[in-house]
Amino acid sequence: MTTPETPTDTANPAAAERRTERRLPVADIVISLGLAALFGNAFWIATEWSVRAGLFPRMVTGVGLALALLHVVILLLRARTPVPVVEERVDADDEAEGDVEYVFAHAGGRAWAGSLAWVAAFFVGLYVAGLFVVAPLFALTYLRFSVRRPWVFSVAYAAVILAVLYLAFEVALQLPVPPGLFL
Amino acid sequence: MGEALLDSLSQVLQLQTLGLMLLGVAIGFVVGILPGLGGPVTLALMLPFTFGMEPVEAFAFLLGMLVVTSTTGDITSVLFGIPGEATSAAATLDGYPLTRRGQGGRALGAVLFSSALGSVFGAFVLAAMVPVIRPVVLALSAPEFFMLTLVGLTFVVALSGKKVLKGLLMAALGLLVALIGIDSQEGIPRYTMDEIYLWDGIPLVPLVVGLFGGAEVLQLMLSRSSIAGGAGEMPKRITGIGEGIRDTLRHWPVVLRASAIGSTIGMIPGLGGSVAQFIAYGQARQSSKNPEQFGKGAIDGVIASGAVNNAKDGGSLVPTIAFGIPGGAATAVLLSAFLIAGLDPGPEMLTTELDVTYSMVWIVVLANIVAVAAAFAFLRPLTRLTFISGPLLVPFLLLLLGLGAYSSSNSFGDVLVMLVAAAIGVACIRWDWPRVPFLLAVVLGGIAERYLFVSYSLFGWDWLLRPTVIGLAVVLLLVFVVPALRRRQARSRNAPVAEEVRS
Repeated sequence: MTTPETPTDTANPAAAERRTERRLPVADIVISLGLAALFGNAFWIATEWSVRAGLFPRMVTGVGLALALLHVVILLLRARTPVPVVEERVDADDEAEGDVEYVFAHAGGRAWAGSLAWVAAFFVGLYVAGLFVVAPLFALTYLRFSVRRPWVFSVAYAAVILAVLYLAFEVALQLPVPPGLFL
Repeated sequence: MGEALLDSLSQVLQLQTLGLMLLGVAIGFVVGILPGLGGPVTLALMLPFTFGMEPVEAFAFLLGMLVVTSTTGDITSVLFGIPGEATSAAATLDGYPLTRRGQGGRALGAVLFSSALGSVFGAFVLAAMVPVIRPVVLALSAPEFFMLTLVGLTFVVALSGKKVLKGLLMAALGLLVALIGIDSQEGIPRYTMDEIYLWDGIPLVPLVVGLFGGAEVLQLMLSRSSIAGGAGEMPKRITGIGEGIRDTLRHWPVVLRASAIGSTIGMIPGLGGSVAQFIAYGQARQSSKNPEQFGKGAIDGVIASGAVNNAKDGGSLVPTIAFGIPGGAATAVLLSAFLIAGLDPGPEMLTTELDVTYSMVWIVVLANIVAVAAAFAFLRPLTRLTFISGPLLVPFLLLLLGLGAYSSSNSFGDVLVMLVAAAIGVACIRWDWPRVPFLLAVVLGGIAERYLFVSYSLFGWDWLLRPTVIGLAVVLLLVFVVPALRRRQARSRNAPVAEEVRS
């Protein structure tokens, strides 16, 4: 959550450029608290084990708990200090994630819900009907109804998926394929 | 060394190994051209298909694929101004302006040929480092290796450019995940929640597949655009490739310097190709006779970008093989392949498994030569791949996710692990938490605990007083202290500005 402050005259362009804000990174705080709870619980469990089995777990969870709490404290302290507004920067080593970050941050709720529903449908179908049924069926329905491709294209794509699955993975590589509940 | 090199070459040239390498090269070629699908993601998706392969075959397939993504990523950078890979960003700076001036073929000739030369340089560094580093590695024992795993983790956290505390927390979470399963010392189930499935620990393959592949698929579904959404038009004719090759030969000092920078920085965990490319680019600009041309179409800028990109691959394999410390995301995934192939990075890779290590040298060289030759031959039709619409890949990628996860142990539990890992990966990207320290900690967690246990069993707590351990502890501290001091200095320099803002 971002709470912008307006300490300067907004009519003054120079002052507007030096806008400050107080950032309360709610997501980071929630994640850190969740991790603190996880590490705390794991530490508690590890105290019941012998030294040989529990030494490393206690070290890891103890350090993890301390770091998580420290992170929360630092985030809360930072949130009290107004900082100049700066453009979001993508780190040099994160360029690969830059596009993904942007897409995730700017996709609307409807797009998220729709995409997650398609993914859920695929994996529920995988569990129930197996990969040989769900892969071509998903390709057909997803391309036709979500991507709005013509029927002919969608059917052809589904057939190619089925052929690749059978010839490349089942026959050539002999990989085990999720069979579904009924096989 | 010579005999081992020749022996490993004969292994690489065996029909099946060569076939797998060519398959890897073909996949890497396509992935490198497609902006949006990265090398680490594809490596993760292909990891499950290496089950049952001999180590040399597995690396021929995976490494062949990985090194080629760096090479072909430059093609879209030059032709469309869109980096095919994050490490190809510098190639856009001068490559694309050359294309706009009608010299796309020349730029491609230069970038691809310098890539091939860079990869040979990187492979040479890898081969040359083996006899140098072997006595060092063999002189180390469990306490030092335990410290090295910690140093490797902290390097990746501190130097990756992410927020340090977040990185450390993700590493701690990864170590916690690595602890799940039956304890090897006393046979106690740890964090298994009474689930028999978890007794063997969290399987690595579904975790890697989900962590990297899940987010990528979701991005393609959400973005709905063509992969090269903002790409310019394809040049009508691509000529002048030979001129680019001659340019590269003429600028051989640029190739050498950029390759040296790439392989050296590749060896430093956490820095990686994204940083190396801009250092080499900056260096090429400084030493150029026409620095004013940089950014407008300087051919030496293109050459430096191509050479550094591939030289870093050979360099980054050195710490991965010798110490089990990967340089970045791609080598972290590759490290998982070591464990799947039943190999332990460290002394083993420099003694009994030396043929596997040297086979990597040949794979890097051969894969790049094949890729560059193929790029010159089929350039125009292959670049059309860039215009494939992203959502069209979704059904096939989901199939790979499901199949890849399931093939780990033929259990639907693996698919669930993959989905949880995918959720973690998506959350990491959405709220800017780094994924690589998490993966690295999962991979290194078991190894670190084993070294700690052996150290404690052999020396009690006295191992903490060994000079090398103390030295490594100092390095570990410096990794955090030096950047913190630099940040503090930078803050004090900017203090007057901040005061002004507050008033």
